[in-house]
Amino acid sequence: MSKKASATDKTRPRERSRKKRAKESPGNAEALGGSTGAPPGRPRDLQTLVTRLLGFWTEHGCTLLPPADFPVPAATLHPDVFFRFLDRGPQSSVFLQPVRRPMDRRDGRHPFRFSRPLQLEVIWSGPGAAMQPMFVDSLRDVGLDLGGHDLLFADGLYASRTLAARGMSWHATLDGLGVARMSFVHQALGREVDPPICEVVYGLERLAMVLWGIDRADDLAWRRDGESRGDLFGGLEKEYSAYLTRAADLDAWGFRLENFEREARRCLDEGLLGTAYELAIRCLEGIDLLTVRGDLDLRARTERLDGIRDLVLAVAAAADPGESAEAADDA
Amino acid sequence: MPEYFLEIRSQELPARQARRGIEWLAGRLFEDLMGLGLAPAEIVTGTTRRRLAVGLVGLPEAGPDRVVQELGPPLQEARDEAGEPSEALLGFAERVGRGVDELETIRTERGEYVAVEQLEAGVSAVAALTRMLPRILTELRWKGNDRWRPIPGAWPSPVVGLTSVFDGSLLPLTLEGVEATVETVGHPVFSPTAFEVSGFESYRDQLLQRGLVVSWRDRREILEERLHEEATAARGEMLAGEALLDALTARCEIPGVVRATFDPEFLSLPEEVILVFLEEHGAVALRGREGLLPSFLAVMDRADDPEGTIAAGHGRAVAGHLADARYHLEADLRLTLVERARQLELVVFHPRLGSWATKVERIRQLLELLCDELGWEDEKETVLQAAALAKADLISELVRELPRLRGTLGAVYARREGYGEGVWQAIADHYRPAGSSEIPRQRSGRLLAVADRLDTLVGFLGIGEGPRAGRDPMALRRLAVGLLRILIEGEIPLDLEMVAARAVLLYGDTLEREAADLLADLMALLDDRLTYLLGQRGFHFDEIEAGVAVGRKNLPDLVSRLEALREARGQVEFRSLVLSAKRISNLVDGVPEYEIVPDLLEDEAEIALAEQLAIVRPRVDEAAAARHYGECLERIQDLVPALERFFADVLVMDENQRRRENRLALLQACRRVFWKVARLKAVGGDRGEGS
Repeated sequence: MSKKASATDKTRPRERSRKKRAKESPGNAEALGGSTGAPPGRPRDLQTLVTRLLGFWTEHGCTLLPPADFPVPAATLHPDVFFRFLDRGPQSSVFLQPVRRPMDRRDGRHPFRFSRPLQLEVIWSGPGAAMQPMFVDSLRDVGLDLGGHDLLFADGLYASRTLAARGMSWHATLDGLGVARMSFVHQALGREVDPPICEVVYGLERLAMVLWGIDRADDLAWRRDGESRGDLFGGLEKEYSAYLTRAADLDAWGFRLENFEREARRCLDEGLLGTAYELAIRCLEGIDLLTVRGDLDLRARTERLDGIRDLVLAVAAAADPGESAEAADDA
Repeated sequence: MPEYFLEIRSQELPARQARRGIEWLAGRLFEDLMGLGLAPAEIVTGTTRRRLAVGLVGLPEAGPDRVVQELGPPLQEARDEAGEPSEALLGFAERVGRGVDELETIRTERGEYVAVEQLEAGVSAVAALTRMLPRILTELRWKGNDRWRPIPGAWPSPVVGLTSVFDGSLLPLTLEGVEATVETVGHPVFSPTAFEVSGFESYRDQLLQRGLVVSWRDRREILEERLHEEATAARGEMLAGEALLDALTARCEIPGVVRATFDPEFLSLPEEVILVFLEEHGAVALRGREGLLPSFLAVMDRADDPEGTIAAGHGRAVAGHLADARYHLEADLRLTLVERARQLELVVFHPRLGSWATKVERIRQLLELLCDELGWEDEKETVLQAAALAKADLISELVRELPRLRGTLGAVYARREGYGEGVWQAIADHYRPAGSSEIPRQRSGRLLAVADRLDTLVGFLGIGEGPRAGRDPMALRRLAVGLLRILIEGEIPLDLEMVAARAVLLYGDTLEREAADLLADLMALLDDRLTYLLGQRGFHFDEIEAGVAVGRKNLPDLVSRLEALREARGQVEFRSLVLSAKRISNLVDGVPEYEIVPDLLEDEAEIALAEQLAIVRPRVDEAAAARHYGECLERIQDLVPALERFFADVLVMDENQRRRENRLALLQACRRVFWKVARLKAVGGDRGEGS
């Protein structure tokens, strides 16, 4: 089997250089890349890590997208991923996405868990067999020397309640720390996806910690000889934690949730589908916040989340009426 | 004899399934080959996080030749009246390549036919393998979603290499578009250069030279040894259960062990919590003389960690887990268990069965009854207190983060708040047994677990969520088995039916079904699971039936009786015991009960039996009271000679009604003695297979 997939024409220059490298190494298609060391000028700061990863994937044919401009609890909920599941927009894409995870608030007292972490997401529609080798290549590209580390893929279930999506997931841990998740999505928005769409999500801070041997994410350099992550985002993290734990007005959030949901339905009726999707997703932060504060128990939370999923499925059905009957059956 | 070797390499395999996969594959190959008379002398397997390998050693070149009979036309249609061969006969002869005169006649159920017997050469191993492998490889089923493509038969992750060697040369094979070669590779990072393989042994040895241990069993052994060495070097004892060791073995090809540390400050966390978080990480905890050590062992897929990079990585990851634990624990400690228990009112146990608070109240009332029934008054206070607090941890942050901590965490909080050992141990244990794990350690925990499970069973059966055929959405069967195990192993002589009736009442009008129906269903479920459980303990179905027929209100007692029965069954005298029991039953079953009138006993044999009964009965009763059922059976045996004489000399169905009824009364008295242990007539004389 040919290991490297050529996704589109754009990948060609890259392909050539890599083929050259492959010739030099003693390996074969199954090698994860030998201890040939990292490419020169490997990043030592987060901003270079981000630009390098974005560069790697754009060179492999992914479209660089701006982040979702509204709060999302996971990069997967970026509107372009939703539309990709409906077979619209770019086939493969990459983007940086700050996400909000109220459940993960730790008042800045955790070495690497944050309520507002950064994710870097890749959606890949090329041959799935090429996914893992490409992912490993991306790690080498940002300076990973596999000969000095221990890379493991642990199997798990891929499941997104909001997108009614399922599949298989491989959790990549590097020296025991989870640094990324690579998934094959089999089902999304109530439809079968075959061939599967691949998704990679990098936990940027954790990846950097392992690569550079740093114990606290806030100590990671954001730019070379400049501010650290903590300098730039530490305050915001503490503030959001405090807001979630004490300051948030729960009644206001209750109202907001209802308003967003109503507004989403109205947009759906008027055929403003992208906006309807956005408004539905905006509810998720509120549901998490109310859960954190004990306002929603597990069952109530599940009901709210199912409501959002149904809304999202309705948007999907409106966007793709040909499949709506099938989607309704599956839901 | 030749050997066939097959290796399938995948980008990565699901840790828990690779082993099952290779066992299935080896078993399936063996079965199919055996069907063709091609069974190999030995099967060797290997599996790692990336490969499944199997060697079929000592394969016959070809299966045995077989005589195959082929039927032609019926005899009467073979020739016309003139004796000339018919069209049908000529056609058949031509097809099988024989002359008309070389055919034979055979008799079948449907009459006589023209036929031919041909010697068919046995199928060659190469041909057989070539035909069966593609099919078998796509029939390997991975569990649930564990496939990288959504189509059945797809591999969990893309196949990257295939090695297929018969007797030293390539046996062509293709899987998911990958073509087989005679080469394999070592570790993808440390030894990726391909090398040639001639069979399983050369494969295993060449991998071993590269540090890879492909045999699952060998790898686990080496890993355990290395873990042990590292633990000793750290002056600690390793704390690793079988499940964790299995998981770690599945994680590597090169079994490497590294020791990492965490900040000793974390040792202020409750030990139970640290242990669970370490295990979740796949770390082996270490206990020193004074308690847990601030270090642990991790497994890596490489031989060493010269720069300490990997140890540092695991240290960071574990520090993260423990920081989570500390954060949630601090949040949880802001409320006491009692305050938390009050919030259970707001949390739903099941939408149709009310809140957790109402469940707790029902459990408490059941426990009062249990203690009264068993005469365990001194447990009451402890167990009621435990019940009030047992579910409080369900609304803690830490349990929400890591649900398997339920119970364990409630116990930690209860201990911190100064409750007695009986209370916190009951809280800790009341979810046990989970699967095959142990039952609660103390009486209080056992009682609490029984009441909790019984309430859950009644509730779900009461809203029609009981098990049906292959489906058991609420896992009630497992719950019932656990309940029975607690009664049996915990030596609790509890009449379940009576308690269950109360459990139904306690739900008031919440349940949708008639109490009597529901109770009948519940007892049927429990009986079914009891039979299953006893069967698992090696009792035969007829033994269980005979034992249960005498009573199942006291399960520990039932098990003692069955054990005595199983023991006695091997002995010669047992057969005569059963025979006597059967003869008694034939005469007295279905007959009204009569009283013995001693004056009416006339025949010598019946007087002797009555006298023997008077001697035997108190001895049997005594042995039964002490639950010495083996002795009980021996004493019953003492009745057999007198009985045999009675049956030989005395006519039971005498014309005289009073004499007849008196003899029946005597036999009824004997039957009561016989049934102390089991309804013996239902048991065969020996434990033949299939009895």
